[in-house]
Amino acid sequence: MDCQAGYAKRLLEVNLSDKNIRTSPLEDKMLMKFLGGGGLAAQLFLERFSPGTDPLSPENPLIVMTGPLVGTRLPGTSRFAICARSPLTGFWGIGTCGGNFGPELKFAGYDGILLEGASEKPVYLVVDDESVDIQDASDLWGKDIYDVTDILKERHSGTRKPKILAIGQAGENQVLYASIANDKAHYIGRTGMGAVMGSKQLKAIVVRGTGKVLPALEEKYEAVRSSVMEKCKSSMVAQSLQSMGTAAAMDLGMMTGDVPIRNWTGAEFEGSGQIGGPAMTADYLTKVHACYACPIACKRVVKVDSGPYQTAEGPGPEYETCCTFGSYIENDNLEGIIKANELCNLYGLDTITCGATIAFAMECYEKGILTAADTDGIELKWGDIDAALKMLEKIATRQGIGDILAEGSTRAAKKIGNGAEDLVVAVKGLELPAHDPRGFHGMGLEYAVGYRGACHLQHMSLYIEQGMSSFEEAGFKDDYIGTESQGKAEMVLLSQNMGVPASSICLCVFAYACMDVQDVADMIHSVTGREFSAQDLLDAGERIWLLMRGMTNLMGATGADDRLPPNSLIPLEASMSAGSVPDMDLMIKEYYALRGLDANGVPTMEVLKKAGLTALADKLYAGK
Amino acid sequence: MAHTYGTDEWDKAYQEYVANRLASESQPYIYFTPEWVTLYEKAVREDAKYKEVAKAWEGSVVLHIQAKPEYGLVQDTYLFMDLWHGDCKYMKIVPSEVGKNGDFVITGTIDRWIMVGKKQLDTVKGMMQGKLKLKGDLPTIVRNVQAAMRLVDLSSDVGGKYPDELSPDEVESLGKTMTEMDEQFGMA
Repeated sequence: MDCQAGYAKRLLEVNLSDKNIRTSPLEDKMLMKFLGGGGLAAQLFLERFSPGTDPLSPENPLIVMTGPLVGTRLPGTSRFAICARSPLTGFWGIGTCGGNFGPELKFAGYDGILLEGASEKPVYLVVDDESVDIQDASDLWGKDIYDVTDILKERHSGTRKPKILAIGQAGENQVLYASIANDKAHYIGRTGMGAVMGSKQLKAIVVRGTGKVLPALEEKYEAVRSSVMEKCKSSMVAQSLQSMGTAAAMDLGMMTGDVPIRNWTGAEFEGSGQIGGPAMTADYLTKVHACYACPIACKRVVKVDSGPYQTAEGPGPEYETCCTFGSYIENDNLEGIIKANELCNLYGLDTITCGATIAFAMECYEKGILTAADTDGIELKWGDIDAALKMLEKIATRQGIGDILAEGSTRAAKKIGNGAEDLVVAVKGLELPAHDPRGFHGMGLEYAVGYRGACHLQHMSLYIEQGMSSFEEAGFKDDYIGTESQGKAEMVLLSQNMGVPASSICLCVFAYACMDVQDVADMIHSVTGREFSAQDLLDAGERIWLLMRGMTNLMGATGADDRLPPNSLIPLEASMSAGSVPDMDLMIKEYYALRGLDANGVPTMEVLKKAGLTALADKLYAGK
Repeated sequence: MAHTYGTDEWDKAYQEYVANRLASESQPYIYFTPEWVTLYEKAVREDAKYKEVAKAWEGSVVLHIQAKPEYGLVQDTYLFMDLWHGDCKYMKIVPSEVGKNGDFVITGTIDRWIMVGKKQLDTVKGMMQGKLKLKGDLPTIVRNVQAAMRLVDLSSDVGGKYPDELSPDEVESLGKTMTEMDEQFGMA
């Protein structure tokens, strides 16, 4: 079925308990208000499900959602979001990734899939245009992500190979930060959506569609596409990503104090030059890979030919992974990082939380909080990638101490005790991504107030504060000094309003970084046919941010959760941030006032009603 | 008739021209003039920190300053730096067809280069934001970003008079100098 004007206007609903399958309409008003992706998923959850649901129970839905631009040939629009209450954090969970699953789902004629209930035995879902079927996955349970993807592609090859979403053994074992993979190369890692999928005994989703996504305004669409394609091709950000991948940020980040070291307690790491983008490009890159219709092609395909870290040719580590399995644990062996990345991909683990949790365990070990008796004899010493790889496998299979670390660092610390809590580097239970708030104070504020916990993607602060993109036309200053806190609340608020819609229309932030806000508004206008201005985009951003923040509040978060962990606030005199520490009290006070959050960190009734979020307001203020 | 670049004749004439400029002009020199380039070359050659961070660097770097007649920059300027393993073999203003073919060419308007000199624009940020354009292998630049940053710092430390600070007489004089160089050395 073709999607007219960007939307299929229907949702595929699958109940895995009673095997009921149906489609339901998505109303225009709701689509334009919440756009798609995370925003639309949050509104669906709010309307139909309880925020108090156990994240790993059948009552927690798993919502796969695309956006209006997905399936067009506009650059960076191949993404999709998967949402649920997070088993890792207990708050609103959302992960996004690119690839080809989102477009294919649109081609099959669905904006999203809502999965409810849980199967009694392993199953997988097959969506082939109008034909939707739940099939037995007994023979697939226990297999890794690469194997199951290959098997299902072959089994359902037909006239054209389908696109696959799958979990690995970590998802089956409900490791709380299990990931979901699209065609082996693209991962939804953050907030543990793979564990929710595993709890439903849903091994995979196979989708194939033959329809098209048709823009409403063909001429405008072609004009804006031509313009933004040119911007993406000529942008240095895009060229950097294409030539070195995201790991280019390692070399540049060391110059600015952006790279966390030694579980965020270190200031210097001489091995950084050996584990970044240029090194990977020179020694291990076999080819580059792009998401659907993307001219940037940031994805690395790498191979370690021989030795103890030999790998098959496959997806290479991103910057974050080079940090969590590199600088976080003081490992300068890139082959070891590539191996860790491959194992995380095979088992289906979020490389950020996994590496960060191992770094946390290493600091526990250094301080004597954990000993070899606790770790099945593994000496968790800094720099030892072999120990990290052994721990990774224990986590994926929940063996020994891996069973505790599979809960993420926040929950693991509570079980370990003896001061381990002080060594956790997470906000709202989500481990910090690898951008140090001591070098960039605005990022610290983003981490603190983020609705899904510490997040580097659901906003544009990373690009704006680091100067990769300026977006002066949107109201940002020409230049921000990373180690200053003044003025950052305003920057963060605007960057959220500008960036949050990206996770709802499902636009890649790398492509966004090459464009203007007006370009994004023009893309939405040309595809949907609706009048849509840059201000409309910012208004939608505010609305969706408040919605997701409110969801996290409904799930129990308060202002007390808007705090950075101690390790990330230690002044590091020898680092490039030269002892700088963000003034969190100042920034949070200013931010709450600008955003309209009360002293408990909850959006006020007034600000919610102004944003048109009456249903959320009613739930947040029920009985008050 | 201009001398032919790459010949001994060109080199000799250029050296004589620079020597005359050094004798006739007083400091602070105007940024990107041949006499200013000699100070910059000396600073890079004598900088221990540059030698250390640039020890892996191989290849020429060209700063391309786009013309702005209001400042006296009547044509584009190409500052060619022959850099190798922490050494600076030479720096000079070169003809456009030579400059364009440097291993790494960074292009910007004079106003952008002034911002770089005044440390109001970070070179890496400037390139990412498209305010400065890079031609050349980006991974090599990233791998040697400390060397690149040190080069920029030194250009700022050398000091000088920025083209946007010139009096009308100085603007006219700079224009004449550039025209004269074009006539002698085929810069355009």
